[in-house]
Amino acid sequence: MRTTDDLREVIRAEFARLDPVDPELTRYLEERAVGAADGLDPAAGAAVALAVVEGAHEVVAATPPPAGPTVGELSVRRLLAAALRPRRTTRPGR
Amino acid sequence: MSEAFPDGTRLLHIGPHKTGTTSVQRAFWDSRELLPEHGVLWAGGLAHPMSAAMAAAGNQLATGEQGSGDERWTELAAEVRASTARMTVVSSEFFSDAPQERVAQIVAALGADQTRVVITLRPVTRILASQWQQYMQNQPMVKYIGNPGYEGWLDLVLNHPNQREVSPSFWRRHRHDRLVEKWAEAIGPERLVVVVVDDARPRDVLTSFEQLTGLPVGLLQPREASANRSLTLPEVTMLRAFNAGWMERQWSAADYTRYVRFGAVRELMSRTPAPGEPPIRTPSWAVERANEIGAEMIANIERTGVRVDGDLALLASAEPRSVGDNPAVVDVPADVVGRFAAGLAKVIAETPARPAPAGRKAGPLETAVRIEKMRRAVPPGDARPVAELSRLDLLRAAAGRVRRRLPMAG
Repeated sequence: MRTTDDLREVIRAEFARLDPVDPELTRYLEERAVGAADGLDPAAGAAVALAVVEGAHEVVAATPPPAGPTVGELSVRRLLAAALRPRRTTRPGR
Repeated sequence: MSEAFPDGTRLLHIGPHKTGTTSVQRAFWDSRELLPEHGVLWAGGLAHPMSAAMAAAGNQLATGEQGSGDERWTELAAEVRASTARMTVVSSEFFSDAPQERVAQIVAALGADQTRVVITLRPVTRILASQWQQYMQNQPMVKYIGNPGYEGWLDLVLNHPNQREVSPSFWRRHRHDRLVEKWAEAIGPERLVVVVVDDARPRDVLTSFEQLTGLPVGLLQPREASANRSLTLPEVTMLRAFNAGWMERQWSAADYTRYVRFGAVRELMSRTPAPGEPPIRTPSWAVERANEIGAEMIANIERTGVRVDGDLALLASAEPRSVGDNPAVVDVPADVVGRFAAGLAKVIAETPARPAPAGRKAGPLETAVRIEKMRRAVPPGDARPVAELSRLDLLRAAAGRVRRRLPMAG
């Protein structure tokens, strides 16, 4: 459908105007917007924007919960303390 | 020509909304570095001390932590009381939302003896469409039961002014006679000036403020108006459909405030509407009814004895920019859809990778985006969770860190 094709083009052009601080997230949200484009009545227009917000919700929902501190977050002293603390390794096969 | 307020005055401009307040605030803010040499202080450290004024009136933003606005208001009032400037100016339309008991508190907090109040007024006929589209920019937060379109809203507001289901704040702000009476009662009519805004002479409102504060005429410069334009009919129609979807999904008010009201809507307003794009038209019956109410307001304002700068008769005789019926079917230009969607993506992507600052309440989506970004900000090489590493791997990581810190051997 011509209208929808045109709309997709315009959406891409509007995203291309952005100076994305987070290109990965922006690209994902752009694909969600383009994928939702389907006509130019108000409800169809709103659906494109709602798809962007839904996309953002999906991105954060897919983020795994924090599994405690990472190596980068601990000082050498705390890394050593963690290594020497009696513990059960969770690594499979050991 | 307005006579200047006496030296030592604390000038409180309370709007109300849609009466050129943004234009006044931006003009003062843009000139803030020139003001001290004329003995004028623009208080609050912002173009618009919105959260302080909302708190003073007993309200708060959806993104404000409980009490944070109160702190801002306490600081602002203290700054005003401590000011030794010839003229200290505070401006926010959100003061006009204050109920009677709060009005007295606001005046007392600024110093009743030195405070003088300025109320800018504009014909209701000119406010209707502008205020309605503004409510739509904040729809999940305002009382708007039944979700009427513009014509339905006009009927409720103009023909059923005592109903409380839809926009109960409208007449609190725009029954201008009652607003003037309320503040005149708290401060005395001799300390209140009404400035009538004439859209045909947009510079006049700045001249009035220059004269009231004793600034040289011409010092305050109007800023480009397009940044604060009203939404067009296709823009607001799409926004309403979006709002319905937002509320259906029960997404949060705080996320709406950050990402939509102060985010994507502003991006949308940055576009230039095409010449033929329809504005929001006000039907002629509504214009007549609003002018009847305007005539009542003029009589009541005159009775208060307050000083009036400008032509009060305008309040009962002005026509809106666009009069007539709105089309039943509205097509949305593709760039409206694109700009709004890209604007949303932009503001979401710009969410910083750190916790929300103190005093700000982040919604669930914003909080989750901040966490997700903080997680991604950790350098990949160091992102291995400690709990999943063996004792040996942890010792190796510690040893590697120590090795990197040692000076290179010769």
